Amino acid sequence: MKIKDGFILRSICGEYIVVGEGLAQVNFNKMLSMNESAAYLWKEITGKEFTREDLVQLLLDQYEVSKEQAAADVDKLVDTWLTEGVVEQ
Amino acid sequence: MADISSYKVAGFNFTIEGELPAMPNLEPFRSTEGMPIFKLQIVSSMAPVPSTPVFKTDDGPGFPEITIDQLYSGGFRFRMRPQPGLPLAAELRTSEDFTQASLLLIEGDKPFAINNSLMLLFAFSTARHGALEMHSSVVINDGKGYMFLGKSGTGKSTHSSLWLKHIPGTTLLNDDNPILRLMPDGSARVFDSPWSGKTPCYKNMEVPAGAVVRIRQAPFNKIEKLPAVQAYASLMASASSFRPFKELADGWHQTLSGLVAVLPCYVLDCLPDQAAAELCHKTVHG
Repeated sequence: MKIKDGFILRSICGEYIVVGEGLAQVNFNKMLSMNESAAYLWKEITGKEFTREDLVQLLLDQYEVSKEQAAADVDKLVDTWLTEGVVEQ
Repeated sequence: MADISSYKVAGFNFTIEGELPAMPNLEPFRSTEGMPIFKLQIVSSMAPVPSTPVFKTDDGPGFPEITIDQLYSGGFRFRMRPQPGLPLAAELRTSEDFTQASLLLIEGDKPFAINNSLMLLFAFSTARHGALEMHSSVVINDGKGYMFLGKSGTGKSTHSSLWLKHIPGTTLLNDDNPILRLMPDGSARVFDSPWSGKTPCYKNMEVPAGAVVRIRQAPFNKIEKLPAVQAYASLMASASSFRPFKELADGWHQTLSGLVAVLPCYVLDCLPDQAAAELCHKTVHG
């Protein structure tokens, strides 16, 4: 998977959102709220191809969390990103 | 020697070279001090240039339609129609950084084409300097500017007129397109502009921004303060930013995120009545 062209992570007063910018995302009129760990993952995978396993490993590197919990969180997050259309297979 | 007219809006200078029709809205903004942030030249002909389409605005019938192309030589061109389906009114060509531009007036309302060109150039050339052209109606009360946002027809101007009628000491700053700036000292300030829609006032004044209130029609009156992310979304929705220009997005983001840290933003669900103005005034005035 990878992040679609034109989606940018922005920080506002300590909170994170993803917005569509540029011609590629001119019709994306939403903002996607990100918590701190989602924003961390987003930064790590920006400009790269990634798999769900990559994201699980990134969470395990950064947070005190079980592999099962990390995998469940990643599944939920990636499903949201796919539904909202900010990443593509 | 061609005529050069110099103006200053919201602290930014610009010049227009060439013969202008009567444009009373620009007169209060004449100023010769300071370096221009952009220069617009009115020309009598334009050679054809190769270009590639970028974007076309789609605000619906009754609104200007602007077709944007990128020039192979760098820079952009903007072709304007007063409404979809009407003949081209003008073509504007700009340098890549929007500091230099030429305008060919083709048909119809010249002030329309000149004002639209100036608004585009102003929004783009100030993007990195903390300025936003807002679609807003602004009143002044107790020395501060209160900005009302909302989609066309939701009652921004109506809410302003309710303040003017019922809240003593209120005056109108700008009814359509004020400039909101994040100042170098981190404060928020709102300025009159030469673009004020159907209710011209053109005071060329500036005041500290007191609050921003998004107006929504409702069968009751209720006001709520917005958390930072919603405040950012509310401001962004009413700022004249052209989303296709990625290069300018960083500047606009800096400005918006700086503004929401210092400027209280609210959403007001309201009726068009005196109680709405009083509730709003009482809440935002603190």
